[in-house]
Amino acid sequence: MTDQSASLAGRSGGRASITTRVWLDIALFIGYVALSAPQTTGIPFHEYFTVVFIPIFIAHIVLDWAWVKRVFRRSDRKRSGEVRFNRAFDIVIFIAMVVVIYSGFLVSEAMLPDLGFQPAQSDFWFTIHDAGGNLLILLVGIHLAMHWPWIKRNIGRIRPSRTVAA
Amino acid sequence: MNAWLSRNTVPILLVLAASAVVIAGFEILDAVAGGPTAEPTTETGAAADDLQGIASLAGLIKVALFLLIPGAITVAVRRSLEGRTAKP
Repeated sequence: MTDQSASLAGRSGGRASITTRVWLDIALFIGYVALSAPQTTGIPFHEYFTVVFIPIFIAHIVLDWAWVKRVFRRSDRKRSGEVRFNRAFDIVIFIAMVVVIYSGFLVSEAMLPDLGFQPAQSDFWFTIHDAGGNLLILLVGIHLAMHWPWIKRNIGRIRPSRTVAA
Repeated sequence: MNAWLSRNTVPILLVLAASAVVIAGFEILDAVAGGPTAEPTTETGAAADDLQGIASLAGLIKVALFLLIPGAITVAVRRSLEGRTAKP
C-alpha cells in the first residue's frame, strides 16, 4: 500500500492493526513463493498447501477492506494516477490468482485423487494454470514494488525494539 | 476468530462472489475454446532423477527472477516518474 493509499485506509478506519497486516503479508509472501515453485516443493505440497493459502489470501483482502472500499467508491473519482493504477492492477491480480488456484484444482494430480476425485485432465486448464501461474509471479513482483513504500515503512514495526541499558 | 469472521462476513462473501464470477467467466471460456483432453507424458529412470534435481533448483531461480525483475523495473519507473513530477 502506498503512502497515499495508506493514509486513505487510515482515514477510513481500518480495523486490523498494522502489525497483524504485516505478519499476514509476510505469511502470504512466503506461502506464495513456496506455492510458485512446485518443482522444488513437490506437487503434493503445492496442492495441499493451497488449501492453507486460500484463507490467507482472502484475509489479505479483507484486512485491507477499508482501503478497497474507499478506492472503489464512485464519488471518489479524483484519485492520483498511482491509486488508480493500483486499483486496476489489484483487480487483475485478483482475477489471475482466482483463475490460477481454480485451474490448479482442475488439474490436480495429488490432492483430489487422494480424496477420490479424478479431475478430467484438460489442455485448456493446464495451459491456463501454467501460463497464469508464470504471469502471476510477474504481477506479484510489480504489486510488491508498487506497495514498497508501505512495506518499507511498516516492516520496521514488527522488528523487536532495542532496549538501551541505563 | 469467530468474532473476526462475523465482523467481516460481508467482505468475505463479496470476495467469494467475485471469485465465483471470475471462475464462471473462465468456465464459459473453456466451453467455447476448450481443447481436447491431455495425455500426460513422464520421464522415467535416471534421466528423470537428473531432471528432478535440475527442475528443483530452476523452479526457485525462476520465481526469484520473475519477482525481482518486474519489481526492480517498477521501482525504477516509479522513481523516474516521481523525479519528473517533483517540483524543483
